[in-house]
Amino acid sequence: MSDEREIRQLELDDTVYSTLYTRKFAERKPYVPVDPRQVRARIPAMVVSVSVQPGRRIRRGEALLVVEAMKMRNEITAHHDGVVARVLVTPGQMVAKDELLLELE
Amino acid sequence: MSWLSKIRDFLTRRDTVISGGGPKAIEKQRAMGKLTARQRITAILDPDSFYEYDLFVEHRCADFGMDKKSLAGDGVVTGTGTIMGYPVAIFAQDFTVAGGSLGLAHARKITKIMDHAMKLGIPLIGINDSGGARIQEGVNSLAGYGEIFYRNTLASGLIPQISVILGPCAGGAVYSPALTDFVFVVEGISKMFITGPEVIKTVLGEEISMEDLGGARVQTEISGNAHFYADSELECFEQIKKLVTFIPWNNRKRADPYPPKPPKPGHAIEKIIPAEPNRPYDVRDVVRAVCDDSDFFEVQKHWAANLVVGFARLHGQTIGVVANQPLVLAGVLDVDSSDKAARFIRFCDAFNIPLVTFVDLPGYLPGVDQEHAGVIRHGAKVLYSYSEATVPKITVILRKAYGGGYIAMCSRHLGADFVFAWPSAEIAVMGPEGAANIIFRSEIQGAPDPNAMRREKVAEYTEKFANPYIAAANGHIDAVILPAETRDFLIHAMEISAQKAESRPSKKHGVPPF
Repeated sequence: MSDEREIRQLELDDTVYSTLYTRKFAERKPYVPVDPRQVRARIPAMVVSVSVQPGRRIRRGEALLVVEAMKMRNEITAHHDGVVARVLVTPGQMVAKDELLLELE
Repeated sequence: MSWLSKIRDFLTRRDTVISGGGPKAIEKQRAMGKLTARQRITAILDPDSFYEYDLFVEHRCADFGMDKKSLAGDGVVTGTGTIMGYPVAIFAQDFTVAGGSLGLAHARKITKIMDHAMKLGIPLIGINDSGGARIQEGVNSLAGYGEIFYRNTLASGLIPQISVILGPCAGGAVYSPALTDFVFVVEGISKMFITGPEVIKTVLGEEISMEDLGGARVQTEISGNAHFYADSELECFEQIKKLVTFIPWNNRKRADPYPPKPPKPGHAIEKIIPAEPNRPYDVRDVVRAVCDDSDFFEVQKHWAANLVVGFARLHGQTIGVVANQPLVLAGVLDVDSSDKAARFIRFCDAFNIPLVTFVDLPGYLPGVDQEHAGVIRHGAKVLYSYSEATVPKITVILRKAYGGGYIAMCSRHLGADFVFAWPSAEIAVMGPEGAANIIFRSEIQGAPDPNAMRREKVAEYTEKFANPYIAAANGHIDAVILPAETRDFLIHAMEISAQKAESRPSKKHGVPPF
């Protein structure tokens, strides 16, 4: 139905093939490497509380903030040791999926 | 009561139930562009072939004022009939009666006809048009769904199960179609999802319409949950009738043969494939050039189009066709196409339908998204289902058969009974460019003119390996054949393997990489 109708190029093992793309392939998102310094929202949620401020030294496993989604409160913890660089959200705020919540140095 | 009044009483009772939810509800159904449950059954089955059962089944719910409510047939019509003379069991949810909501009595009518179909060894057709669980019945409604799912699973591989989504089919209810073999959807009418737009909005803040979430197009093109897409209910019913002619009644039978027909003229098989291995063509033209009447009935046509599956006939016998499609994504295997192939192969194997595989693929689709989506596990399904299949397995290598893709596409090594290759076949670890760049890396890099050296080495590799003769010399293929001989070889292979009986070590069941 809405598969792409335009012949394009696809390179595999150094050979370039002329072929149509599927819509899924044409619309695929390029991979963005995960930045370990960024803490992002996994799903849309509401920020309930923030327990750290910029400059604060934190340890792996330490609670950073609490968000509420799907009627559950989830504690977001640090994945590694570091220093908080920026806090981008405040309690009561709604955040979208993948929104940046907090940044470590 | 006199005889006559008993008859009159019966007729009144029957008419009451048959009128379903009454004129108002029926008018509403029609306004939505939908036929009623009984109209649908009549349209699918042969004229006057429908026999209805359990007309007078009533629910037992007494809560929330339900004891004062009588629901015609408890919102579902069940019975048996024929399609082009083939016997089928059928049920159709009646949206005009309490929104087709599923209570225990409703579910038990369905499970009864399912049990019937399994015992009698006849296909089951389920028409889904329901608002979901009958909330008033609480856990009994859930029990009803569970009993249906359990039977869908027991019936899987025993009788063909066909689901027709002609209205909403949401929440747990979608798992019944999902457990069946073929799902039919109709534009603007079918809606399938686990959680609807409202819940998604509340929980995740994402806004989407029912159509964009789980409409007919989405389920056919994006999710792959549906196998057949139609613009209207009547077109959908024609598709169902056609499907039924290709498949057997049950797993102990074979599909009925049809009078053999030659392919239609105008399908010049030797002109389909371009000489260059990187040019596209439509592999369905090859299928049409070899099958009876050039009639190829494609399954999941709009999803994972880089691989083609469907039914056709060879000398009157049904075959299941699996073919790489060089026209789309060069015919690579990926997550979706692997899924599509594996499911179809298992259906054919379960129902004694010989498999004919046409091979032309450069390998697997590279990509982070593919690896992260589990292409390892999904790709393994193809290997598993081909290896597991004991129906006659015939493979024709048209052009490229590289690397892991060569192995996966029903190679001799996975138990193919016959492997034929056209002279254009290239059976190798990879394409000449890639192979030359690896094997002759240092020679190419050290040459005064690396590009000239690369061209020379690619030509050398092409000359030596990009052909079917090394595989032929090792007995990995049985014959190199002319394209024009393909139909004859296939028909002969089918005839010679008609009594094929392959046994496997006894076990409870395998553990495929679902």
